[in-house]
Amino acid sequence: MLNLSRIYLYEMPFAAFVVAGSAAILASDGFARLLPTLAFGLCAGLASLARAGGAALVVGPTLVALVIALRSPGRGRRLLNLSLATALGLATAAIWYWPNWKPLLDYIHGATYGDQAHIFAGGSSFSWENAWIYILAIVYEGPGIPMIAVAVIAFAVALAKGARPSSARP
Amino acid sequence: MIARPFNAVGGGQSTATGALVPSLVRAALRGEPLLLEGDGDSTRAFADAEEIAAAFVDLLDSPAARGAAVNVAGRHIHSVREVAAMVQKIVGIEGRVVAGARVAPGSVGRIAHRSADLLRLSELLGWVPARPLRGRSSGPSTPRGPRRGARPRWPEETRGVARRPWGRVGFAAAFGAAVAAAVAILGIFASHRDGSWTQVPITDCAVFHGDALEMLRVLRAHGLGAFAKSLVSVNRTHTPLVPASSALLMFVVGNSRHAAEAVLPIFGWILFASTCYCVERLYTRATAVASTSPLRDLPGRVESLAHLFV
Repeated sequence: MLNLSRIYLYEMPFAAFVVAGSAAILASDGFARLLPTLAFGLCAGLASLARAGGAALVVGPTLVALVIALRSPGRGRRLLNLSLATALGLATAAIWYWPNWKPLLDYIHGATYGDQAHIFAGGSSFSWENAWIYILAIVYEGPGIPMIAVAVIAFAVALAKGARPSSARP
Repeated sequence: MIARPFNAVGGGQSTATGALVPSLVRAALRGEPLLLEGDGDSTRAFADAEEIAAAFVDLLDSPAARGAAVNVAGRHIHSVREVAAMVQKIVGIEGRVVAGARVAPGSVGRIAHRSADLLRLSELLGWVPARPLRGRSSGPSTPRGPRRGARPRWPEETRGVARRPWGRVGFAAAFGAAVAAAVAILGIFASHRDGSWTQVPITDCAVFHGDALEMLRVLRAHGLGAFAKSLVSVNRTHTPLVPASSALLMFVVGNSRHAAEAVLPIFGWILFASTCYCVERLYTRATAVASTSPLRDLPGRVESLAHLFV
């Protein structure tokens, strides 16, 4: 944590709210419990306030949980809870996004993916040249080489275990 | 398939069959003495009824279980006296515990110790009931047992009686804490050596830190209402939560860059706790501690060392 404390960036709080939102989804038992479901909505809103576009990462787990919940009894109550949580999340995020949507849109189109993209990468945003740069960035600035090594070893172990014949079980 | 359930404990359990836990709870709530058959030192393997039910369902789904006789019991062994003490503590009533009560003819109280070999259950399901007696739920709800079809995480713990349920968890936690402490000491040493605490932050960081300082100024000068408005207006292209958190921290503990940046470790702990919770819900507590400590912290620590000394 010490090395991170010297870098003033937004990723850590953003990740914290995304994972806390996922924890709230699990605690909600498929959106059947109201308070954890509302906590999920709040976390999604706060994740959006921690980093622009943050809510995008919450959409996937939400959809998976929703599909599982819709197969369970009490569908109406689950949908109602999720609707309330969505409203809470939107209301939380709207505190900043509603008055600032135009400057934010201009910034995203200009600085990040538009005319100034070459400053952050090698050329225009969606090119093969930049695809390689993005992969390297994920390795160096994302999970890091040690974590990737751990993942590769874990994957190899899982493959080896999966390849064992089932008759090995007594 | 024959499933042999052992001592189940669950919400709505009747006292009619003489089950230990509901009988003790009822006596404690009524202010009556807690009567223990025999000397109170006999032991049982208690399991959450929800987990036993989940095991039954999984066994019925398992083709390998056909024709097998399987013990279905918990990993945690408690003496009757320990259970009485737990009930007293949870109910909050200091009742009298009376050991040596008369044992009814044919009562299971005549059996001094009863536990189960869980190896077959573990091999068939990949999990065994492991919820501790004190941590079990108060009533029926959605089962949150281990993932179906999972292979054993700690097979040796599931062979017979697990005598040290916290052994691996404690080891994993101690390992993570030791590595964290060692690297923290090295980090503090290196930071003071090269004076990095006082270095000027890189450009982007300076902008974000500037936002935090502006919010802090508004908060001190004009109060909370103006601070809330500044969340919207201080920076119209970058979201305000992190600078606002830094401003609040500086407002509470004083204006310094250390206070401003403390927001990151704080959120880091939220991330860590949430990750632990997610893994525990999906797997087990031992898996949560074992996986989050070495896998999350160790690579980061090694990387930190590389940054500090290379």
